[in-house]
Amino acid sequence: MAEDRLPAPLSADEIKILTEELEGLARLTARLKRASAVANWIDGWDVRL
Amino acid sequence: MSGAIESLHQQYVNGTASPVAQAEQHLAAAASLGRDLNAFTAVLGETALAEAEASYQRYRQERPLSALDGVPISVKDLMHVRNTVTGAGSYAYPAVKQSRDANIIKKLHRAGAVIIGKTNLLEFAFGLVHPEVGPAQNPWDRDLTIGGSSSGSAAAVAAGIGYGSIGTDTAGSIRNPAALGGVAGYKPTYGHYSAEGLIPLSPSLDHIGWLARSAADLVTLYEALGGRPPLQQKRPRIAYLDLGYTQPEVKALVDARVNQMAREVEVAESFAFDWELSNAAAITIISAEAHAVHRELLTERWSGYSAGTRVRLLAGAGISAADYMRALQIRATLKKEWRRLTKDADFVLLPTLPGVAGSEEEALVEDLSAATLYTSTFALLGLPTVSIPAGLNSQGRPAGLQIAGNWGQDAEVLAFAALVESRSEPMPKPPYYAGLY
Repeated sequence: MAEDRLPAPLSADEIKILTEELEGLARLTARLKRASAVANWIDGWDVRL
Repeated sequence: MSGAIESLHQQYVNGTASPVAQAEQHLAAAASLGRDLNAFTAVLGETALAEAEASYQRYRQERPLSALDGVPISVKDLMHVRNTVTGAGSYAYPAVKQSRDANIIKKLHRAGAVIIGKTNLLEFAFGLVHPEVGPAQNPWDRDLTIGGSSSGSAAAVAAGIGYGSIGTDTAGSIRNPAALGGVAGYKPTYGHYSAEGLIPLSPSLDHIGWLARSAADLVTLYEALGGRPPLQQKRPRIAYLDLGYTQPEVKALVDARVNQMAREVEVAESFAFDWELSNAAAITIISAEAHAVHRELLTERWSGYSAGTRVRLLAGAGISAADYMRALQIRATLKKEWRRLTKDADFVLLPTLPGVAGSEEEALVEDLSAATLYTSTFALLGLPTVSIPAGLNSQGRPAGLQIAGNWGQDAEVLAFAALVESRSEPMPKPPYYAGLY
């Protein structure tokens, strides 16, 4: 889809930041995955606050 | 425990002060010291003076709209004010004059507030300074960061320009700069103020709230915008926590504030909570939602963003729908867990931040997840939370004490924060201070 295209090629610095950011987010989502694996939540998707 | 705003309101009622003179003084301070500190992105002289004149007439007719009538305040440049450009701390948002006011601005007008200007912020409230906008400076020491994202609001209030400032808080963006700037900050229960007309960062976690020089002023601001008075509490029950990363000097300052309340509170048992998990859920939700919010603007106005912000916004695309749903579910589970852990406590107290302000360079290398560890949980769970000053460390840098309450107990949290404040030595004024009150 057009809106998902990158508007310009990323610079080397930007690729470095992006890589670090993605690694950081991956660590966080892995942390969430570990917590949900313990609780076995597959049968209860209650997301209400 | 009345604060500076209540005192000013009484002077207006008695005729010993005038909203027009106040507006003139605060507009001049915003245009001089406020600009020097890079706290303001716009000073709204013409409209503020018209609002002040209308306020003066209401007081003459003995019909003020609220205790906020005629009081100079500022607003973070992330919400729309009619006939002004919303800058959002960026060059990416279209620079067109807005045709309408955000809901919170309408509320301020209904209360008679005089809006003197719009305040600087981290770009789109997402944690980084756009280099061409520049950081707001800390009135305690201009070489120190004042955090963010409501950085200009904290700098303005700390410098005594305006009596309050509207900020936003998604993971700590009111409480963090309030603590680093030595002022008070209030993040309400989620949804207390409508976010209509606010440029969102993460709609599930965005909160609109206040910064002011004292908790007593926060109480006045809260009630002037329709907040209810607190229910009487005979002896508040508190739980005092430390997350284990707090600098010793900050811990000593916060300990002292808590200990001086010993005879007036019951101390509930401290408890363990998975702050890292909570923070991970908050950042996952914020990153995913911020990407969704900015996706189209990123493609249209890529070069208007700073490199750091646009790449961080782009990174949110790396979060899958499954990870996002998992974060939402963890939030719901943590909410239940928090209710269980705090069933014997009216208020939870902890440091607002583990440390004090450092240099801008130090702030740049700070990891978002470390910066938000102490504050994000209360945004994630939507709980009312106030940060009040806890004094100065040996280098003269402010620390903050955070007080969180149960859902909807905003009035009680604010009243308790004002009580704690009233038992403490008053904060000194920072070196850069307008000297108007």
